[in-house]
Amino acid sequence: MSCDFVKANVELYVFGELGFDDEERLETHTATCSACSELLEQHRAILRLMNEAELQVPANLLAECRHGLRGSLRAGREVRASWLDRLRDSMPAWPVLLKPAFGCALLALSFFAGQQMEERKSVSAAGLPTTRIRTIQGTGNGMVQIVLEEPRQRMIEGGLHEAGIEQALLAAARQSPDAGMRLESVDLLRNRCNRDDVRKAMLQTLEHDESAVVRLRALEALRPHSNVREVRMALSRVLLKDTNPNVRVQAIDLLVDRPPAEIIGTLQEVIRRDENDYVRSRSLQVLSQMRASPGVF
Amino acid sequence: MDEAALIRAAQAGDHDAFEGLVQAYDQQVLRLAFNLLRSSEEAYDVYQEAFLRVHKNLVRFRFDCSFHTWLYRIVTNLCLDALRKKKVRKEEQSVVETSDGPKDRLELAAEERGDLDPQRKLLSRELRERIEGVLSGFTPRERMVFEMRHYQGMRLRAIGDSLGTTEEAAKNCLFRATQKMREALGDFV
Repeated sequence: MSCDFVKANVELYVFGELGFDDEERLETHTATCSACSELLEQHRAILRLMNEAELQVPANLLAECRHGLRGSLRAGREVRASWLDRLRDSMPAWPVLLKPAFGCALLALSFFAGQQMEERKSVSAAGLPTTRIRTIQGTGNGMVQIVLEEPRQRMIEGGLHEAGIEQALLAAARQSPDAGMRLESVDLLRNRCNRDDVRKAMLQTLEHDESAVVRLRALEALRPHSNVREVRMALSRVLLKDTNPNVRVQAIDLLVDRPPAEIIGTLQEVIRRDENDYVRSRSLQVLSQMRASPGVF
Repeated sequence: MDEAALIRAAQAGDHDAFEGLVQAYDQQVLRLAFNLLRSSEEAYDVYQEAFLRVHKNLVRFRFDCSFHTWLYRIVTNLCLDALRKKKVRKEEQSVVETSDGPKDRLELAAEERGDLDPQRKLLSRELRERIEGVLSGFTPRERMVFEMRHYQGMRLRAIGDSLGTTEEAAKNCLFRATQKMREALGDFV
């Protein structure tokens, strides 16, 4: 065993990639050779320093990714189902004699599909319905006419106060299949909840968005407006209906400062039927602070 | 249900099985993409594209290699493409916008861990710059191999399989990466 062996293999050793025998030889040598021991420690120290470079994945990112993927897969299935349904629906109406023509039409369709490979590729690769088939119609001469709906990209840029931008954000918050985009829109609109239309969109998100992360963010945005009647009513519904315990607990926290008579009934209902222990105990705690009874008599 | 059964069920169109398969690996995938690309948006894009490709091509998976290797081939290709584009665009930024103004990514990470006292903050400023310099000085392949070995704990053989290369080539990448780290950080240790 020589120092040369250590110099040649120290990288593999610190990464745990040496075989058992070589590892044993290296350790035996470095135990008695101060120069090699120092070299080994230097490599270890560098790796420790490099640990500083590791970033923690943001808390919500995984949930957003999973939600986005589910949406894309669902959209892909809907596109395929729509294709099959339209083809199936169109078949019985065609006279038997036209069936060979329909075969030709399918061939033409295949040719057309080949020519449109780039667009199709973007649909299947991204899994998003960027292209939708609106109608399919046989023209009677062995050809087929297909009407595609293709959204065109257009960029708009401006301040949050501008009507076009705000409308686009409201539409994205309500309709985008991408949870990440809905979240971003809610965040951008959060300081504009004093406007009726924005607040309504935020309430709709709070009550109906599929993603608990997005619903929680909408709830946060509505926090400064928790004294508005429609917000309080929505929070009461959320407390009774939302499937996510975190959302329900946050709703309780926003509701507690309202006049007791208006919330006691809701909290008693939560204690009676909520399946989550923490939500029930939080409701109990709030009722106790209000010196109200946990049960309905 | 074991992994092979999950894969077969997903191949037969079982959506829940596919979701189970995704959730068995997606944390590792996201961590790899996020650390390599250092951007939530780009990591999100890689995640979506990777699993949509898996979904599309799963019927052609024939158990010739492990599912992990097959998945990582897809993920590493997407990450390498994204890293190369970043290099070309020279968009590798070490500064992120926060509510308190622009901050260095590494400083932000340290602050989040709550381990940055004022003295250490001063001492480590130069170190952080050096580390960021090391990362941006790696080639995309060196960055990938180092990330997979050091942070993900993958063996060189598995890394070679994922990158469609040999264990020896992965080892050479790691050697070059280590050399660059020693040159940049040697006087800090």
